[in-house]
Amino acid sequence: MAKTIRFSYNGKDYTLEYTRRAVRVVNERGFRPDELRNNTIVMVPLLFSGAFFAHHRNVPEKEINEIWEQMQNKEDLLTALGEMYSQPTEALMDDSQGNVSWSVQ
Amino acid sequence: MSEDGGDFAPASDIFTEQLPYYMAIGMTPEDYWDGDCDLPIYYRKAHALRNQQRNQELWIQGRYFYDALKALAPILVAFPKKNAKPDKYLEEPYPLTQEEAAERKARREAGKKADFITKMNAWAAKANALKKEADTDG
Repeated sequence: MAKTIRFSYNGKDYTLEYTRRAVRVVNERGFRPDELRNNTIVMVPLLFSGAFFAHHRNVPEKEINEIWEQMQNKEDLLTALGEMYSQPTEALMDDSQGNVSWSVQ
Repeated sequence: MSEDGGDFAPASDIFTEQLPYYMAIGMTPEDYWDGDCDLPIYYRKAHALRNQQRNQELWIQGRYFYDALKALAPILVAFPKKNAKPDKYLEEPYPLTQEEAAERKARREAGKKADFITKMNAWAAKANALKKEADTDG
């Protein structure tokens, strides 16, 4: 099932999730996954705010930025957000037809 | 184009391209765009299961057609034999589960047993009647 991030801020519970619509919206806002590491100032806020779209569409951008500033373990959080962003695309890939097995060494 | 000059294809392009396929296999646009993002995985598996089931149903239907034609074979010739009659068609459908097959086997065994008992009773009744007749004559 879909990966989500849950936390509480100022007494309110939040659930961050990337649906296919959220991915489309964040792409329309200018997010590019291949620029995440080289243009963090622009891409990181987009990636974080896009995860609010599914369940917290009306949260103001100012509040989202405040929440970002307060989040702990930002590196792990970015990794998790990246996985959540990729999940809607990966779910459309049908790799049941392949016959080549592989392993990580 | 990305900063390094590569081509960037937004994921949303892939989503739009795949939407008709998932609608064709029963997914609503709402589920596709706003539902759990892993739903397509389960829709694909359900679609494969439905195809297997339909294939099985079509195969069974072919068997029924074959059986029907086989039963009619004696009269489906240019010059059938005198008094030719079609064979009997299947008395009941093919069992589709092991439970149905076991129940059918048990029912047939019970039927054979009942037939045997009936025949034995008839034989015994006839033997008794003959013995009684012999005693009366004697």
